[in-house]
Amino acid sequence: MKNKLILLAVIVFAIFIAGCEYDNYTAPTSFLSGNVVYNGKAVGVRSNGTQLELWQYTWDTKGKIARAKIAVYIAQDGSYSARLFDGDYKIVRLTGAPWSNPNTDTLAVTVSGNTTYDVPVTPFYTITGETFTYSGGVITSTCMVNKVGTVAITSLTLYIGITNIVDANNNAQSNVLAAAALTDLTTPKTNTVTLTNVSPTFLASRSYVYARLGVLSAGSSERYYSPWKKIMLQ
Amino acid sequence: MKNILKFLIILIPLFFFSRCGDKLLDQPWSTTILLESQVWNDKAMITDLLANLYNRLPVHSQINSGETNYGCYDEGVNTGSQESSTDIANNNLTTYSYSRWTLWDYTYIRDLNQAIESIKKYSSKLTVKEKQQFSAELRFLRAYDYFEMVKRMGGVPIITTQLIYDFSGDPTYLRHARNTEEEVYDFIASELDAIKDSVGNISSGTPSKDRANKYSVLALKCRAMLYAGSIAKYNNLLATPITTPGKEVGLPAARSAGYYQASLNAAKEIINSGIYSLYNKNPNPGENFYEMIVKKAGNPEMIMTTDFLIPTRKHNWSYHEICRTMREDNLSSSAINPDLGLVEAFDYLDGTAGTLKGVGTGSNTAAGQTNWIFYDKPNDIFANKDARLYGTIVYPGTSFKGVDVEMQAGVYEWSASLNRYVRYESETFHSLYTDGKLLTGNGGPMRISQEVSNTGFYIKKFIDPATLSSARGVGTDIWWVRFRYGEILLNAAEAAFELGGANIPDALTYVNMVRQRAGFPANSLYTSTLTLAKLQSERRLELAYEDHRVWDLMRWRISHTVWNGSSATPSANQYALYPYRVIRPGHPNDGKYVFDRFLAPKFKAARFFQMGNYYSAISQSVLDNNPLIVKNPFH
Repeated sequence: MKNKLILLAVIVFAIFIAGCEYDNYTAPTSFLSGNVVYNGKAVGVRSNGTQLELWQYTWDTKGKIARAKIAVYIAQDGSYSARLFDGDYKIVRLTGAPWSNPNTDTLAVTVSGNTTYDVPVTPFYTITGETFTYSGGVITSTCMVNKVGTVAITSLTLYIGITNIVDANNNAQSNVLAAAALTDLTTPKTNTVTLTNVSPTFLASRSYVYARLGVLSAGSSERYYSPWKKIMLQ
Repeated sequence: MKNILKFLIILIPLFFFSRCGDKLLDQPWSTTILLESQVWNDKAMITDLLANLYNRLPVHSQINSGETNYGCYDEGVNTGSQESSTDIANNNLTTYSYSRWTLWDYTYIRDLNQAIESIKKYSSKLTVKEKQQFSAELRFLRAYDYFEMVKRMGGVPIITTQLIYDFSGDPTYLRHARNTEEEVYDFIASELDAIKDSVGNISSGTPSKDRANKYSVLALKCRAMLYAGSIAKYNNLLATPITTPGKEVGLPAARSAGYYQASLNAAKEIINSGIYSLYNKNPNPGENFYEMIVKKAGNPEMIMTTDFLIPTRKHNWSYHEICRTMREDNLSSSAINPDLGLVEAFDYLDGTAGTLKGVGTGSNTAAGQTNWIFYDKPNDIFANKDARLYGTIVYPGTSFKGVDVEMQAGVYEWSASLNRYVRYESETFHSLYTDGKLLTGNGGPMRISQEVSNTGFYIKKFIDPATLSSARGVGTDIWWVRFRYGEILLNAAEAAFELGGANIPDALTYVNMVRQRAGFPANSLYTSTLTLAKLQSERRLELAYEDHRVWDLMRWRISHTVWNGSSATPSANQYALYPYRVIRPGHPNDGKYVFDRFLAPKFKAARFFQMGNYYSAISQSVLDNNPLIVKNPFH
C-alpha cells in the first residue's frame, strides 16, 4: 500500500512537471453561436454534412500564426456554435452547401464573451408552408418550393425517420418527387410515403415517427431541409 | 520505498551488462563512404535502389496492403476481424473524409528525380543503353506516381528536378504552384511516349512482368489517357462541373476525344504486338478465370505484376480473406465479404440481368416467403451465371481447395398452426438441428460472429490454392496485378465506344473477347446492346478486387449518385443472401433450399460520396508552407 502511494506521488509529481510548459493556458470560455439564415429564417441542413470554416488571425504562438481552420459543423436546424478565445475571426461559407457560394465568401466576426452571429446565406431553393398529415398508414406532406437562384431543381424528397435526426442519410423510408413533377412551382407540392413494417424499423407499428422535406438542386449535392415534425401514428 | 530501491539496484547494473557484449559499438566507425560515383556506376546497386522505388509505388486497396478498403465501397462488407479503425470495422462510414484519398507524394518524386539526375551526372562507366534504360525506368515510376496523384488530387506541381535549398535564408524560390490537371495528364503522356522504346527489360522477345518495359509503359498510358478522356467528358456533363478558376482541377471537354484516341492507340499497340492474350488454359470458364490470377507459370495475360517471391515478402491476403470453412490458421479469415450487389451484377449467360430469382425478404413472415423458389441444391440459384462469378467469389453449394464450403444460415421449419415456415438460426459452427441434420454450416453465414461471412459470400480472387498458404507463418506469394490484358481490352473497348462512329466494331470485338472468356457465346454484345452502362458493369465484374472500382466511378462522375448516402438506394447499401434448408416432412419441398435477401447485418451506414470527394483535400501543412497552392473545391 505504501509503495503504491509513493509511486502515485512520483507519477503525480512527474505529471505536474511535464505539464508546466504547454498546458498553462486557460481553456477558452467565450461562446460563438448563431444560425445560418435566409430572410431571417434558419436554413435546415443535413446533420453532420455542412460546415463553416473559422479562422482566427490574431492567435499567435511563439511567433507562428496558427493557420489551421476550425471546422464548425452546422446542426440540422441551421444552428452552429464554437467555444473560442476572444479575438477576431473570419467565417468562410464553403461550397458544397445548399446555398450559392458568394464571391466574397468571408465574413469577419469579433468574439468577445458570448457572441451571437447569424451567417447570411442564399439557398438555391427553399421550402415554405410545409404540413405533414397522417392517415391510414400514409404520411402526406404538402409544401411550397421556392426558387431563389437560377439553377435547376433536381428533386423534392419526403423523409421519414425514427429519430428526430432525419435527412438523406438518416431515414427509414423516403419518397422522391423527381424534377418532372416540379416544373410548376406556383402550386403546393404533395408527397406521400406509405409506411411499411419491415425489419429493423417497423415504421407502421410505431407510435410516432419524424418527417422532414428536403429539396435538391443542380447547384449542390446537399439539400435544403424543412424543420422536422413529429407525427403521432396512434 | 525499500522495494523501489531494490528494484533500482537490480536495474542499473542491467544497463551496464547489456552494453558489455556489444561488439558493434566497440568497433571503430566505418571510414568507408560510398561515393556517388561508385553507387551510380554499379548496376547491382542501382537495381537495388530500383527495387526500393518499385516497392514505394502508392497503394490504395491491394492484396498486401490496404485490404480493408475493399470493404468501404461496393465490393464488400468488413466483418471487423482485420481493421482496428472502428468506423471501417463496423461498416459505419457515414461519409468519406475529404482527405481519404489524399496523396502528396513528393518525397518519392524527389528520390526519383535525384536518381535520374545522378545517373546523368555520375554514371560514366555504364553504357549509353544502360543509362537510358535505368533513367527510362525511373521516369516510368515518376509518371506512374504523377498519375496516382492526379487521379486523387487533380493538378499537382510537376517537379522534374531536385529542389535544392541554397541556405540564403529565403526558401520562397522553391515554392511551385499547382499545374493544371490537363498539364499533368499531358506530362504523363509525353513522358511515357519518350521512354517507350528505351526502357528495355525485354529479353529475347519476352517482356519482364516485374519491371517496366514497352508494354507496361503503354498500359499505363492507356489507363491514364482513358481517365483523362472520361474526366474531360463527364466532369463537364455535371450540372455544375467541378473546376477551379486556375484549372487546377477540371479538364476541357474539347480534349476528351483526343485523350480517348491516345488511350485506344496505346491499347492497340499492345493488342497488335501479339505478345499477350487472354488466359484460356482451362476449359471450365469459372476455374479458368480463377486460375488466370493465381497461375503464374506461362501466364500470357499479365503485363505488369508485383510479385512476393522472397519468403519475407509473402503477404497475408489468404489469411485474412479465405473462406472460413477451409481456414488453416486458428484466427482470421473472412475479413471482407463480397456483397449481394456485386453477385447480382454478374449477368446470366443468356444475357438477362443477373438478379437472383425466388428470393425472400428475410422478415420471417408469411409475406416474406411468397417469392421463394425451392431449390434442390444451394448452388442452383447461381446456375447459368457469368462464369467470372465462380472465379471471383465463393458462394454456397460449391467447394474450394477441395473442401465443401458448407454454407447454410439455418433452417425454415413448416408450422401448420402459423401456416408459414419458421426460421431457426445459430451462431455455432456446424451445429445440428433437432432432426439431426445441419442447422448452420461451417462457413456460416452468421449475423453476429466475426471471422465468418456476414453476407453469404467469400472472396476467391487472389486466394492462394496452395496448402497452408492461409496460415500466418507461411503466407502467400500470389502476385498483385498492376496491368493485365483483360483490362487493356476493356480500356480499348471503352475508348472506342466513346469515340463512336467507325470505332464501334472495335469496341464490340474487344469487349466480346472478354465476355467470351467468361462463358458468354461469341458476339454476345452487339451494336444496339453496347452501352456505357454495360461497359461500366463489365469493368466492375472483370476487375473486381483489382483496385479499379472506386477510381472508375470517380472518373465517370457517378460516385455521388451510385453512393448517394441514402438507405433507400440499393447501390449505396450492401446486402446479404442467406441460404436455409427447408423442413417439411412428407412435402415435396422438404430438404430443399430457400434464400433470403436483406441488408447485411453488419452494414450500418449507406455509402456516401460527396462532391468534395472527387478531388481530395490538400493537407493544411502543405498549404501553410506554400501559399501558391490553391485548395480543391468544397474544402
